[in-house]
Amino acid sequence: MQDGMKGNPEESLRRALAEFAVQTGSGAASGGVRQALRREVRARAHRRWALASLAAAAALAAVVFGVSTRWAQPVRPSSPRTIAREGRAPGSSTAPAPPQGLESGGRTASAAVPSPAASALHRARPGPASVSHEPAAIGDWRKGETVLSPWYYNTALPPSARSVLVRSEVDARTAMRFGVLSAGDTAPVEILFGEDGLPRAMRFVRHLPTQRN
Amino acid sequence: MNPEPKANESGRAEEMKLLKRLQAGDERAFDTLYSRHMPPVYRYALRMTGSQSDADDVVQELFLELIRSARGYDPERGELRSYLYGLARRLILRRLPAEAPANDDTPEPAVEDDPFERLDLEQRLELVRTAVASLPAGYREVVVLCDLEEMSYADAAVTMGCAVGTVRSRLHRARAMLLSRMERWKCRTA
Repeated sequence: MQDGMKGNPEESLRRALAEFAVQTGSGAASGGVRQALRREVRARAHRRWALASLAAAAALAAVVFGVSTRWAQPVRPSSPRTIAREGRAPGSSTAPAPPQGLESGGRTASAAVPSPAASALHRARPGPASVSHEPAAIGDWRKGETVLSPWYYNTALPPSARSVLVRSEVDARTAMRFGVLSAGDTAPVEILFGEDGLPRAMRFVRHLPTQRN
Repeated sequence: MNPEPKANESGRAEEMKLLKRLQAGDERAFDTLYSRHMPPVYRYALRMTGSQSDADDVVQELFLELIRSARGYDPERGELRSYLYGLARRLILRRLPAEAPANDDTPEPAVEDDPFERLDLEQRLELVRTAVASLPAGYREVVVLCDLEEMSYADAAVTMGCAVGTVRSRLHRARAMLLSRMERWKCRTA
């Protein structure tokens, strides 16, 4: 059957193109393409799952390792060897006063008077030359301790309104420079730190064995 | 206030979500996107290449790229459909044999007689198929996009990466070429 179209050639072309579009408009890619793509999606999901599992396993292993190694370590004091007490310095213009109530101990030793050289030194020195940070029996200090020297103030720094008292030790050589003789390798000291963390003053203390009644 | 931009935005946001789910390996997201975008892409590829296996390959490569990364897709700049057409175009043009650039200055002879006169549907379809396949790629794609896919000139310009005016002029010339070739073939067969 002849199904001819008469008229304007451009209009005929437009109609023929529309027919062609309808005729070829229902095509679809083969089923194999869809299956291959589905496999890729599934593989991707599997890879992500495997990666996530691996990451979770690694995190779990790290936690287990960290916990077990921490448990294996001996319990140590959280602060290396010092105790700190906070004190408020009275309105001294040049130097903070030692906090009240800290000199719980006892008597001031007469031998604690520093030598003239040490007295001259204490004004120029910002603090002890070296401070050892070995653990110390802090609790023992309080019993029978004796103030061995006056406070050596660090006049190079402005006074601090608030201060923290830290007990520490300096080596015997440093103590010697302040005119303090130490029987051991170290000498116990109290250091007064300002709120800026810089040392403001230091004094030597002596720990005496607890007297038995 | 025009609600269309909002609808477009929500549509893009939804497609972006589907795309992310697809890349995470969600098969349902794949099914949704595949059933939505495969037919037009396949048609475009088939009409451009004239080969089912090439069209299959284009669809497969295109969705693989979508699954793996969809690099270059920015929902702020356009719809996923436009992005897919652009991607498909790249894949199709890679498959087509290299051809000499068309000489736009040569005028097509005017066709006065209707080339479809006294042809039945099957003959007309065959004539159109042969004529479209014989066009240079640059003209074929404008006919495929605008006349067969019924894409707007603006969307076709985005897909082809050219100005709307270029689309118009190419379409005009492509139609003239189609008519001229059909007329010649009809005379020959007659």
